[in-house]
Amino acid sequence: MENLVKVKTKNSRSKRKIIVDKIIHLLLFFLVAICASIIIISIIFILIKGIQPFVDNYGSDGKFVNQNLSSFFTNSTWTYDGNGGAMFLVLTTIYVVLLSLIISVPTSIFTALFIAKISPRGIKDIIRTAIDLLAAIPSVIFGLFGKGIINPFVYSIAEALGVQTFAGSSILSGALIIAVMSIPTMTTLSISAINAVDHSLINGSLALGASNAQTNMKIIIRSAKSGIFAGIILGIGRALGEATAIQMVIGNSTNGLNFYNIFQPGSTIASAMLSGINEASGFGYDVRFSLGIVLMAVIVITNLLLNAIKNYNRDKDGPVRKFIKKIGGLLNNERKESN
Amino acid sequence: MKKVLLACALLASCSLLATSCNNTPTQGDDSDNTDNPSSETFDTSRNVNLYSREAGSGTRECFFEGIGYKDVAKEDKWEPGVQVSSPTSNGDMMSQIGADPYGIGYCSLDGIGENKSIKALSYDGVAPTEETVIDGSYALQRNFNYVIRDYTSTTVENGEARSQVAHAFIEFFSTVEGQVQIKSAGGIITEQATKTFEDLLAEYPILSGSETVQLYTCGSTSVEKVLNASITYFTSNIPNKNITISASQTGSGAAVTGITEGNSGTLADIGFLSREINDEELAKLTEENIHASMCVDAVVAIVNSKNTSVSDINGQTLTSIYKGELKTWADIVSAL
Repeated sequence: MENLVKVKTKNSRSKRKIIVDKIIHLLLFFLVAICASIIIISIIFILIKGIQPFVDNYGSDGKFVNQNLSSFFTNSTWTYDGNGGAMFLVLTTIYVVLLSLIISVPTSIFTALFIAKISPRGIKDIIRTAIDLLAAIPSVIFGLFGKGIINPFVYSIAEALGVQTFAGSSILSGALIIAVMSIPTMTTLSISAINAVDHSLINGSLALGASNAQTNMKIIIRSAKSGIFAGIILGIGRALGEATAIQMVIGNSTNGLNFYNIFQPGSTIASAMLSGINEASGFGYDVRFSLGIVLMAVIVITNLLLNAIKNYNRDKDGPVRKFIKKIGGLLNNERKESN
Repeated sequence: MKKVLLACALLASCSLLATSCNNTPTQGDDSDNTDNPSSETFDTSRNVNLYSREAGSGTRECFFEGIGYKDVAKEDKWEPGVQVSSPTSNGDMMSQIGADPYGIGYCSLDGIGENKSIKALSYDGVAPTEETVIDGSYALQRNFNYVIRDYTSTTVENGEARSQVAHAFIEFFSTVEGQVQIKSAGGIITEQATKTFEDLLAEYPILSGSETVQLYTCGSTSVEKVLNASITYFTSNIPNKNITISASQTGSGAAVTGITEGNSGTLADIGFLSREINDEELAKLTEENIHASMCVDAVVAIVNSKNTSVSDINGQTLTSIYKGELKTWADIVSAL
């Protein structure tokens, strides 16, 4: 009798556990479904809205107005009359991000190295907290900082060089501000990558007679390469999509390919979307979604490309390796034929 | 020992940074700057930096239609190779021109007087002041217009009361008290009113009742200052405390669509425009959609206060400047 009762309670307890498990399982699944569907719905919404300007008629009184597809890819001026060209915005965006990388990549790698390996404990914590705080500052604050400090700084550089700027509103200011904004992401990830380097490697290097500097540069950074690269990819993601801060310092000029002159104003995809959005309606509003599709495409393509480069050394038979081998083979064949 | 040294180095670099930060922003100010000779004297051989508000702005439309360069009034259809920086508000325009000695731009007359770093240019020999705008001799001016919703053709909850309050509010603009509010917020009045607030209260009994009415306005951001001053006076001085008016201004383009089609389903009661209603918009309106002008504002061409070469300008010269034909300040001086 006693035994029976025990078994019964055991059974009901485990049953209850199973039910609770199932409920939690369902709840988690429900939350995941919400998360995933938000992403999917927003992408579908942007795609539909963004394709609309190419298809629908926005004109009135019998006039036909829509976004011309060929000028969208070829025209070098961004306008809201249906003949705007977005490709120069893409080029300017990539150019600004590349410029910013020249500053942000070395800065963040060496900051990370200093924090992780060189600095004494007290200073380490202070700098680390400062960098974490930097990552939490909203972009509009960076925009104000750029307007108040970076623009006058760029202006004085240009005056010293004898070049004319729009009071510092320029491509260079844009690049500087996104460099500052992407440094925290890159540094934080680089620090964890450097901390994860195997101690036996470092000890081995030191035991072989390498100096501390040699070990830091040749062993630690080289072993942490893949983690540092992951940080750079995340930083680039933030830089490409940045709108508010850039729009406040870059000058928002939408006329033509002028990005080669870093002291001239320009416009990135995101800043062009943001500028004048308060007054936008109808076509001018919808065509910003088309720019949104372009921006998302640029971000996805850059990420895929960077990931492929990152995995280049790891997978011997990866797609990039294969591609390069193929091209190399073709070139060799051609050379042989010509000989 | 090492720690102390490091801490000292950190402190030193921080203070260096702080002092350099303090020095740089003053470059653009009109304070004396001895180590930068180019900012003391105005060099006319330098290029003109062009500034224009973003496409869709009512100020921009008024300026370019006024000077006769209609191609770019609504769109960024600049001549090839012309670089134009786009500040996104009146204040942004003034701060950028204030920082750029070689810039030229335009903004609303309201607020220029307080700003020492910019200089307002006369247009066709007439200085932009309240008097010249009122007598019409200053040409670059625009009306702030309003348009009211048609309460008869659409079904509105509490329509009769809303219509009464909306009509009372627009009539408030042409009362003595209303004009004081408009003037204090920078608007310019061309015709003096004789009607008083007391008359308005007597005419619309709903203002003294207790019925709850909520009105929404939409349209231009340029009128925001004038509108907010009016709303504050109007709602705090009527006996009926259950009447509220909330303003959500986005742009002149949203005025007529806001009261006829509505933004995201809800129709607004009054729309404001910082330009004239165009034919396309007039076609959407019925006779019940009363529209008229509320006050006048002037658009002024502005340059940096260090700019000594120009003080008067005309439409033809401004058009050539924005077309990129006159490239340097010396060109402009010789063209005038």
